Amino acid sequence: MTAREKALLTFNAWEGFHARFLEDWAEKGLNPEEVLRAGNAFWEEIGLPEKCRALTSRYRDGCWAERESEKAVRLGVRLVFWGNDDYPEGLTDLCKPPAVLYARGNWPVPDRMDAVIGTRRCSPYGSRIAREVASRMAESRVAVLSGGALGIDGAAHAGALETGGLTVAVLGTGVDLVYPVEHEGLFSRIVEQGTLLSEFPLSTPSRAWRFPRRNRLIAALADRLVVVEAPVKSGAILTARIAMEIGREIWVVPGRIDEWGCKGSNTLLWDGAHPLVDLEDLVRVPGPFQGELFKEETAKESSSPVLEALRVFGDQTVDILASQVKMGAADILVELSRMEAFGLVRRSLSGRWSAVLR
Amino acid sequence: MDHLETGRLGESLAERYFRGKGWTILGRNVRVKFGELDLVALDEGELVIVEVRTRSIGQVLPAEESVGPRKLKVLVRSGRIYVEKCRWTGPWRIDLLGINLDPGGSPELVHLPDITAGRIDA
Amino acid sequence: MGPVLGVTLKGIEAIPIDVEVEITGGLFVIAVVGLPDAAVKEARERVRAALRVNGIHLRGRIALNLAPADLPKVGSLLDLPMAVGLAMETGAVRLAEPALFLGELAMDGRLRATKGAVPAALLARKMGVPLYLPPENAREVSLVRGVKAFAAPDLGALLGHLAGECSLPPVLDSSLDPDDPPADPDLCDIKGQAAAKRALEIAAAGHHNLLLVGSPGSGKTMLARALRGILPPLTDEERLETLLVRSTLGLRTRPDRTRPYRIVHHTASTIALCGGGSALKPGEISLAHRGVLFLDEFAEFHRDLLEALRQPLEDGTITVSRASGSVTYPARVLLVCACNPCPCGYWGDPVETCRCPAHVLEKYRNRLSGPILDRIDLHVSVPRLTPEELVCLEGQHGPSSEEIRRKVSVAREIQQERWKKEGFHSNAEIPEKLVRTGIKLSREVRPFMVQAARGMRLSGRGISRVLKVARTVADLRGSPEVGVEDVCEALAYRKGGVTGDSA
Repeated sequence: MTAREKALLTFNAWEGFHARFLEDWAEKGLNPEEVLRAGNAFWEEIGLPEKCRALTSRYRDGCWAERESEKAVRLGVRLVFWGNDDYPEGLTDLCKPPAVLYARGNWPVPDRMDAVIGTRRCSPYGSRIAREVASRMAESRVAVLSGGALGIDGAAHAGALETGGLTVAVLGTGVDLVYPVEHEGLFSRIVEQGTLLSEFPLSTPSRAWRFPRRNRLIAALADRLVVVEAPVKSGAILTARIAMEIGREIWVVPGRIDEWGCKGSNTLLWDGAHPLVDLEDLVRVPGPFQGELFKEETAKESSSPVLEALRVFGDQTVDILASQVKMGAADILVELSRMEAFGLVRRSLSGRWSAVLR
Repeated sequence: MDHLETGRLGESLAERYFRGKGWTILGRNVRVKFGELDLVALDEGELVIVEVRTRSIGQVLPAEESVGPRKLKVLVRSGRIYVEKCRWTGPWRIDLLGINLDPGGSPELVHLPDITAGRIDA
Repeated sequence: MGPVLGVTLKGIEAIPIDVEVEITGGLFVIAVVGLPDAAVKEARERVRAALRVNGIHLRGRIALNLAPADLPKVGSLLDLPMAVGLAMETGAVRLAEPALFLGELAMDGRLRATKGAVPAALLARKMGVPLYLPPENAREVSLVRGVKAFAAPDLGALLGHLAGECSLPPVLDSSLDPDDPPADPDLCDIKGQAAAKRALEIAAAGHHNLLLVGSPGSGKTMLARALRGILPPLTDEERLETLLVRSTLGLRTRPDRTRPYRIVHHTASTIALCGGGSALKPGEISLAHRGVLFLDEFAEFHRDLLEALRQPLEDGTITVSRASGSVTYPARVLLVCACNPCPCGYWGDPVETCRCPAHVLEKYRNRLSGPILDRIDLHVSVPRLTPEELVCLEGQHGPSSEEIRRKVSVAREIQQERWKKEGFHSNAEIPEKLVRTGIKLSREVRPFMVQAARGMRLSGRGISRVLKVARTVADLRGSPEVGVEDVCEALAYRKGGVTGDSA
């Protein structure tokens, strides 16, 4: 572990810490290890509050970071730091991204993750739908992100696991704890087939205020969020609103309008969330094309007279291309489509095509 | 001529007309409970009740147009009563014979068979 | 059921009506149970007059019961069976076995042409009874095989035939003439537009819906009309379906295999387009069944009208309902829509500039998107050619409509053979489930689709459409397997290729 990482780990132990502090310090030309070394007076000067200073001081002097790091290694927990290559990009959209992440299980987490969230006290319908949505996502090779809580979260994780997909749970406790206790088996399966994530130090217990904080991570890590069932004042709605603010796509499963548990999620529809009325609408890449999903075909750029013609003559219709390169219209269209798929040409004006400038 | 005389003249003409057609005359001025049937005859197995209307030419309505819906209802009802009284179980109908008298020349006879037009009225 | 039968129509189906007659003594009256009063009045006069002409005088208390009584009936179709029933009861004729009678009577006893002859013929065939009908309806009935039908010019001839005194000519099966679609304009008369012409070919071959977007003067309406000349011929089964719809409306039909081609103006009412009205009649969309329905100036169509097209585009039928009941008509059409790219018409034009402000353009785009366009497989941009381009193409002629039609017909036959056991006729009709499992793809297609799906932002629905079109492209070249080049060509016509949105 580098000095920088040690410093970050130590500062992260204070729950109010986040990456913008690091950015501020960087602007002032300070790196974290310097700040850590500097001591109480300096920390007061740069505006760190009393509680932070007290805690940091104690931990620094007590070599807490080393012990934490050893514990992590023992438990098979990986530490992820702000500024490193494997820090998840989505988190940078937050106004207060975490400085450190603890990850247990597979790493790195996939770029494309869709979240499935909702209330703890869900109806059987909600639980079933959350499972099906997650299952469908897993079928189309999208990782399912949720909060590891009872109710909708648990159903979503289970749905993904059943279908053999990846699932990531962002926790409000340290990643070495199981909360709620009912999820012991679930969490160990997630460690095998996914990841447990947290910004909180190991063995941080569950407290009410920690769950809203972890919600923001779910909002930022997700590409899209599906809210299955949530009452008006619930964590899921909070997560959805944060996600909307940072520009994530929200989908909502419409619920019965006379049920308390659905009032929050239904109201999101007013605010522009997409109603999920067909599981297929969530699927971008269809089922049958699994397996070869991430293999790329190399673009046959070299010998395309059509591309040459477009480069030389500019925007053309298929007719003119046909007279220029002496190919049939159908063959030209085939060639154009193929190149369009690889981003070599694009459609310009009505009925015309042009080469993409490199 | 007063209207009673015209009426009687009309009825004679009517009887002669129908005999000429081969009908069997069963009765004239047959009284039934609510009305009077001018002429009752048999036309090839069908009982015919004829309402005879006599008018002098020059009057507002020609004879054949002088049976209004109310009169028709009365005819139907009277016809029914007569048919029941005689216990006639076969088919029957109501015809209209209009006689337009022309003082100078011969009377004009207009025969309208089945004035209920095969419809149930009343 | 009694020997004398008539029919009434429910949609394109004929339902048998039992005609029961009872004559007793009493005041002469003809009472009909099972028809509304206005219809009774008219029918009574006609029937009575026609019988009288043939020497049958009605007398006594006559009760006609048309059962079932509560079914709404079309009065004029029942003239003939009522007359025959009455004739039977008066002893003028006897009927050995049950028979179906159809026809309106003129006062002099002649039989008049009616609607519903073909549905009646199918019913007669199903019930195994002979059908007696007016001679003007004989032609359409002759196209239905296996029906014992006789054409009666008037009531007298029919009664004579039933009495065994003379014979009515039977209606013989006739075969269909080959189709004779008007090739006007002929494809080779249209300059350039090779991409659009190819799209027409694919649409005609696979019965795929088509959207043509182009500026005024680009030739999109001409292209839509040219489609008429390249449609494949109707099969016997399809012919019968279209015949049923036309017969229900009492329309004559040329007995050939030409596919219907109907044009709808944007001021048409929903009833005219989809059917309905108090008589629950079929609309243009059913008249276009198995053929083309052309909506020119698509953007001018009222939203409600377009909404009504959703069901037929989805499952090929349309249901019209009123308080009195509902009827389902066939409506498997090849929808062709033509529209401008924007309100002023010149968005994307090489010469003119588009004058539409951004919000107007956005609103227009939103109007164009939606459930109808989502169900159109082929989206084509029809570019307006500049004068220079036109000069460049001078002297070049593409293939003629006749040549294309031949290719299209062969491709369609392949589809008919392939999908026969599934019960449909063309690639456009492939249901969602079969798209994934029933289309044979070559090995390279899958990885290519992944790349394309990502690069072109295709949705699950978009991919299904592309695969169906690719199947038709492969059929046009006679390949049992769909290859990457077929998929590429299909991608060229995807939704979103015109406006740049996702597919």
